[in-house]
Amino acid sequence: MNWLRELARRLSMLLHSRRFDAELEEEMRLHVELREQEHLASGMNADDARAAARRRFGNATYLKEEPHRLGLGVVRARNTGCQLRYAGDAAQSRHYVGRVAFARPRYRRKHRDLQPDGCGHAQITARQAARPAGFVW
Amino acid sequence: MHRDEIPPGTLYLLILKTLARSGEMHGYEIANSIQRLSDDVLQVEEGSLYPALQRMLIKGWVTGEWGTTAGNRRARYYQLTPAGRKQLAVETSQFERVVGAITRVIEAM
Repeated sequence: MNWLRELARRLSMLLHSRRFDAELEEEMRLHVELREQEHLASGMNADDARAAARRRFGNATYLKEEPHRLGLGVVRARNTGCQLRYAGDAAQSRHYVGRVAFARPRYRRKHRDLQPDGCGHAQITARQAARPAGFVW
Repeated sequence: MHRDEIPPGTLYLLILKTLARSGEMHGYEIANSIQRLSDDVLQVEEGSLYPALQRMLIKGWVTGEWGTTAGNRRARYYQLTPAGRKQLAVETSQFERVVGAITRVIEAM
């Protein structure tokens, strides 16, 4: 029953999403700071060390959102039934990427090609998930 | 030295193996360890490490406990679970099968 435990962990993260986000951010910040210190110790000046550490880490904002795109946060739907169904999809599909909400006219216009499900959401592809943040969770 | 990105699909394997060898580590230590053990050839795309670790936490392959670094900073230390150890065996055999197949194709040419 590994998938059940996985589902429970996903739901727990959903319920504690604020704490989860704060912890992820703390980890990432520590990583960049430690890399920056390493560059400083090797003789780089402060500005270059900071820039090099950030460059090597990549886009922190995007990466912080990625776990949500990959199924941690996509279960945020309007009712519990939808939540459980989405969490189940995410737990069972390796290709699960995310969903867009169709309740808002802006999303309906942006994703005309997609068909919403009964919960007012539609599964999206990796390419669609790469559209600017704010359309996907 | 020229550094290569980690081949797609092998990040889990490398993280699992690193944790199996070293016990518990935080993300920065994992990235450095992979780079060092590969003689500086493999460079982890550092940002991608954290989403991967989150997925591994969800799958139950690792646990993450908050602790303090040598420099007195708070950090999440990851540790392999029994499920993670099983997954390491799966990922290793999958990798060896693929590498073996690629090698056979190359040598046949």
